[in-house]
Order: sequence, then structure tokens, then C-alpha cells
Amino acid sequence: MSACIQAERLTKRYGSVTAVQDLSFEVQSGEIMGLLGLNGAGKSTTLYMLTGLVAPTSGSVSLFGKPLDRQFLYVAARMGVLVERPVFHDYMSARDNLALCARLAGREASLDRALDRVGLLGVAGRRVGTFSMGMRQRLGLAQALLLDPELLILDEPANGLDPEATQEIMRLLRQLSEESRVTVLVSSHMLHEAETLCDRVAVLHEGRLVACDKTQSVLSLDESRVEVLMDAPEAAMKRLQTQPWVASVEVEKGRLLALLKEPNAHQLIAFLVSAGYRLTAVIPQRRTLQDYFMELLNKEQK
Amino acid sequence: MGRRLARAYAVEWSKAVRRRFTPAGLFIVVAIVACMPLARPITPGNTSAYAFVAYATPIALNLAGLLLLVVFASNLVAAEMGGSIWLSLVRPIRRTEVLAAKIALGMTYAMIMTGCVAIAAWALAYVLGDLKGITYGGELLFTHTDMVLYYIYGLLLSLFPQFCAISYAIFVSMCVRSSVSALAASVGIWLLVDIVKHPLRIAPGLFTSYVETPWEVFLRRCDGIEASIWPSSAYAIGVSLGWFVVFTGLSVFVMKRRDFRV
Repeated sequence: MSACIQAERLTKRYGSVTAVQDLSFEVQSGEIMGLLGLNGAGKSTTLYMLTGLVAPTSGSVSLFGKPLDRQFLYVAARMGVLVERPVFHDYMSARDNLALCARLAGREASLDRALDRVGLLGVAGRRVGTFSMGMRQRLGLAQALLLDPELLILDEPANGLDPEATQEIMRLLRQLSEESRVTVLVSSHMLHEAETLCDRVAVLHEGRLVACDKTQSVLSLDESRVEVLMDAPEAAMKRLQTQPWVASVEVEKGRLLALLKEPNAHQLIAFLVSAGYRLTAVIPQRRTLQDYFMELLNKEQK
Repeated sequence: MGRRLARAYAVEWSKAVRRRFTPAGLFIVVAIVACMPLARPITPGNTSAYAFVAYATPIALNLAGLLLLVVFASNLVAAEMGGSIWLSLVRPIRRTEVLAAKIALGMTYAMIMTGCVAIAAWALAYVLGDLKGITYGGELLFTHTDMVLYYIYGLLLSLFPQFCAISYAIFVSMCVRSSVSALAASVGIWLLVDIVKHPLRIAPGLFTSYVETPWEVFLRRCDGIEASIWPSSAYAIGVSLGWFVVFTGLSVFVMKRRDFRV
């Protein structure tokens, strides 16, 4: 795989405020990468630097192997962009807005196909000024997808969308990545969506990159949190509470939930079996992106 | 570059024709001209038709200039700078080409407005008065064709300050983020400079001082007085072009460096 996006030591300062500091990362062709972080972490500024809307104070951006500042026309012709809370020409219809985008790019485009993809074909002739926030967001996605880009840069694409529409959009992005090898860089604060969509996630905190990992390895099984299906869970809970290697233990809906000080489920199993309990299942808990994100933030704040 | 510029211009034009202001602005200037006979009546059998044209045209064009200033500074450009401009800036087109298309649109609109004013003024003069040239004591001093030619000359010359006003309006709108601040800044600075230009003796170097210059020759001829187009025309053209270049250059500078955090 070749790198579609290369950001090298990107820094952006607004006066005395540093929005992004010394940020370097790569996104491979066909990959979906999520940019996560709290509000003000520098996600949008990073994306805007990658699209040319904001100039970095220092550092460089290469897209498709070309420097963005010197080869903007080449890069922009292959890129679809959605900014946060997209603004359109309110006095024009959805279709006319898309037609202007296609005309500016100097390319023929199927406007109806783009509108259909995001479920706006039925209101294509309506003035955008009458659109709800969710509809504007869908139109934003339609204009990003309009010219079949090889790279999509999306800032909070699920902003204002209902859960069903969010799922549809996530499915569409996944499909584009898998079938057309479209590279997607997406910022989001919706961790559950990022978890199902992204191949890799990068976490920003106060303008710095604090982690960048494959989603699968982030979501690996966590052997320090174990759920046990067994007989007499209450009695087992009392015995486990006295053990020094158990951090906490509780029973919920007949299941024993143990948090161990070390990720060692074997020790727990051996203890329960030797105590004569009959175990039906021992299930290590899966770590969520939310857990990972919170761990990183706690570490950063310390 | 030529193709991209043409595309950007076509897009600007498509947007402009869908805006309510575009026909409304033309209607306003034509309506102003249509009301002028109340202030300067046209009567048949004398030269009052020419005097009417000489009176109505500069007033209507001054109003057109003000409308262009207000609309381009606040509505057409500043509104986009604060929001929808991103739709253009993420396309394969340079920022300077987007800017050039906006300036070209303004120049086109100024020409259309000027044309509408001229057609309305001459139509009224033709319908209500006599257009047989300027006579004095029965002697024909200037033929009708002479008068029309000097009017066309005045009309063309009047475009220079108008183009300059557009480049000024676009420059102001580049520097602000909202329509209201663009409006306040463009009109406020204009008025302030107009107040201080004579006490500070900077009037000859400002394009706003040459707004009436294009009509001096035509006005004098309406009174039967021969007048030369030089050197005032040269000053009007030179100063206007100079400021046009300055404002456009500053706009390019700002546009290239500005961050668009939409």
C-alpha cells in the first residue's frame, strides 16, 4: 500500500494559541482513518490544513505523493471534502448547488446519483434554505462524493444525522473503501461510529497526536475484565473480595463481573475451579474505543 | 488558467442571476431615471431633453455605484467569505481565479447597470422631448450625433470609477467575516475619506473625486459651451486604474493568505 496522505510535522498557530503542534501521520490508500479527540483538540484544523483551506504555520502535507501547496489543482481534482456544518447557497436548490460544484471542477457528474446516494433525490429541486441541519449534512456528503473522489476528507460527517442515517452513511463509506478503494480520513467524536467504520484511529489531544493505532488492536480482548457464568455467583463474589489480585467484583443479573489487577484470567479460573464452583463460561470483556479513548485522556491529563 | 477562469466566471454569473438583488438593482436604477422628469421636466421644442439626460444619468449612476459598493461588499462576497466560499476553494481552481471571477462579475454588472441607465434616460428623452442637437439663437452648435458620441464617451469613462468601487468593495469584504461589518467598513471608510480628502489635500489622488468628471463635457455642451475632454479624463482614468490595481493586488494578497475556518 502507498501513502495517500502524508502529514509531516504540521503546526498551526493562531496568534499565541497553538491549535496543532508537530503532527505527523500517514494514511494508506484505501484505508479509513478516524481522527478522534475532544472539542478543541485540533481535529478540524488538521483536516482544513489537509484540504488547503488553512495554511500550516510550519510542516508539510502531501496527498497522492504530491505536495499540496504546489500541486493543489492535481490534488483537489481527486479529493472530496466535507467541512463541519456545511454552508451552501441557500437561495439555490440542492441540485443547482451540486451543479455549480461540478461546473467549477470542470467535470460531468451525475447529480441525481449523488443525491440518491444520500437520500435527497426526492427534494433535489427544493431550496437549500429550507433544509434541516441533517439534510444539509447529507447534501454536504453528496457534494463530497459527487465526482467519485479517490480521497474523502470528512469533518464530523454524522453531525446532525439521525441514527439510521448515520448507519447508512457509515455503510456507504465502508463500501466505497472496500469496493472502490477510496481513502477516507474522518474526524468524529462519535466513538461507536468510529469503532465500526475505521481501520485505524488517531487520537489528538490539545493539538498533539497522542496515539495512532489499528482499530482491531485497540479493541483487543481485555483479560483484566472478566465475565463468568457459573453457579452460586454471590458466594463466589464474597470469596473473591478477599483475594489481593482482585480489584473489584460484583454480580449483575446472575453473572459475576470481576476486574483483576493484572490481565490474568487463568488465575481467576483456577481459583474458582479449585474452590469447587462449576463454570459455564468465562468471557474476557472487549475493550471499546470509548475505554481506549478515556484511558489515553486520563494518561494525558496526569 | 483561461478555462478555469471562464468556469469560475460562469459559476459566479449563475449565482448572481438567481439572487433577488440582481434584477432588483437594475429595476431601482431604471426607476430612479423614470422619476427624474419630476425634478427636471422635459418639454418638446427645446434642448431640455439633453439637459434631462445630463442631469439624470450621473445621479442614477452614482446610485448604481452605491448599490454596487453595498451589494458587493456585504452581500455577494462577504456572505460567501463567512460560509459558502469553501464550496469553491476545495475544487481544482485557484483562489486567485475565484477572486478574479468575482471582480469580473462586478464589472459586468456595472456595465449592465450603466447600459440600463443610459437606455432609460434616452428613451424618456426621445419620447418626451426633441433630440435635434443643441442650438443657440437658431444656430446649430452641436448635432445630435455629436451629443450622443460625447454621451457614450462619458458613459465609458464613468465605468472606471465604478470598476474601482467594485475592487474596493471586494477588498473590504475580503478582510471581514460578516456582511454587516463589510457594509459598515466599506461605506464608513468611503464617507470618512470623502470628508477629509479636501482638508488633507489628497482629493486629486482619490478615484472618488472623479465620479462627476465623465459628464463635464456633455453637461457643458448641453449649455452650448465647447469643452475639452483632456486632461481631466486622463486623471480620471489614471487614478481609477491605479486604485483598481492597488485594491485588486491587496485582495489577491489577502485571499492567498487567508485561512478559511468554515
